[in-house]
Amino acid sequence: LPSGGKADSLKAPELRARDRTRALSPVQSFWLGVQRAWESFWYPPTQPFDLGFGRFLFFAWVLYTTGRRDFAIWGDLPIELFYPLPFMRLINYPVASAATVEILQNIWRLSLIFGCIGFLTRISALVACLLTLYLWTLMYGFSQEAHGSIPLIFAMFVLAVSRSADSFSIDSFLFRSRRKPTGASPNYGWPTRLICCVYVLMFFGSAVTKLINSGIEWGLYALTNIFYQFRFRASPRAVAIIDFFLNHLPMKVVGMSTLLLELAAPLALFPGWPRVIVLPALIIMQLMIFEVMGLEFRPTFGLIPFFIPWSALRQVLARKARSWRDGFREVRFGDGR
Amino acid sequence: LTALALQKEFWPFSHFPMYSVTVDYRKPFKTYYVYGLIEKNGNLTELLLNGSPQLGPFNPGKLKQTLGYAKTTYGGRMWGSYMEISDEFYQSKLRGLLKLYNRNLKKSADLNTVTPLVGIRLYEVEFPDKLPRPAPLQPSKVRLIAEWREGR
Repeated sequence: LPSGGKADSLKAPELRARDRTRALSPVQSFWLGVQRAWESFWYPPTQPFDLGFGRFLFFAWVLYTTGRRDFAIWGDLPIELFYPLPFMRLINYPVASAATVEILQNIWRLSLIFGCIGFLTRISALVACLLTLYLWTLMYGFSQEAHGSIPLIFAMFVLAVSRSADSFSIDSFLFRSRRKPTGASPNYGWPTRLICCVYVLMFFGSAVTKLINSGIEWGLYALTNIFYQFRFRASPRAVAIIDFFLNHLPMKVVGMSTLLLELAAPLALFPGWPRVIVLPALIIMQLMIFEVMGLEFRPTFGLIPFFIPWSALRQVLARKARSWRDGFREVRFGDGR
Repeated sequence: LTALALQKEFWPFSHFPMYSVTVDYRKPFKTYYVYGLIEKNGNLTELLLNGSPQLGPFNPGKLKQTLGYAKTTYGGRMWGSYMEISDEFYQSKLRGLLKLYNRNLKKSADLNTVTPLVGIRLYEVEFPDKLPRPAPLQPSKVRLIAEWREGR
């Protein structure tokens, strides 16, 4: 097509964009490419159902895994045992009494339920975020706790500031005029992407710390030392077998694989084979950590639903169900009667 | 990223220190023992408090952490890297533990039969290794770190 005038407006948008790119210098086109990659990574058009159903599963899982925790025991301790973290000193963190913590944890549980069913979702998610921050920080003021709860705080904050109630929520029925989903939109893409980032960075950060603290040696020896405890109750024959596995190749391979898997965790952000391989491997690793070492990382599984394209899955399942139904009809009424 | 680079804890941003340091079970290792002091017939007797239900919610692991074990043992690379460990720190923690123990003791037992603690001691104990043996493992070194006495 000749350029300019009426003919130019007839060009397809991608052709026009290519023409514009041709007019740019190499540096400008490089930056344009970076900008486009950045935007397509952080703002992928996503169905509201993906975010809404992810929110539902997230809060349900957090409630199931952490809802029965009693934080009130931390509110009743002598203040001499409290040693505030630097940020707690900065904000003059108040240590509430056991009775107040009891009230706060009941509000927290209620906010998780509301977040799950999507009722007053923004407020519920924000309250859940602030109270998770407060209640877990309270424990950290007295002693160390498993880090499994920290990603939940970030995820709750993201759900509070995003449009996570536009689908699969009571709010979407109550405030239908305000919360009308517009189909696939980046508004639902960035929150899911950000929560996925929190999940993978948890592993990546863990791997980097291991490398800083112990170097590559961690992969070769750390698991051996952790698993050594199994020798305690083993029979002499079993001890010989355990020792062989601990001190030879198998445990070193497992150790190095763990380290590499944690380093490779960000690959799970990319749909397709990297996610299909890395995400289940991370889940299996966390389950093994829980079984072997008793470290409670299961609450972080609540972030996994945000990796799954639920609306696409729903369409596939609906198609399958239709074809099964049609197949069933054909078998039943195949003779034309 | 800042927390990772500085190896510090800016909670909830953290450098995830757990199990990042390789501790060899076949080499000497240190741990903390907390002993309570009870007075019987004018004599002081030591009572091991690690794992005592009266110190709940401080199980043996949490008890060590609240006393800054990770910071002192791993040279500030673990949880509690922000802690400033001093004699005052230990005194405050031991005073708190003593209060907690005596309070829980009163709650759980008959007031006439309980023997409250009059003091509390923190020991650093070193074992040659963690390998299984028929006899209980004996410490190779014991060091008194701090002591707190009631009414002092």
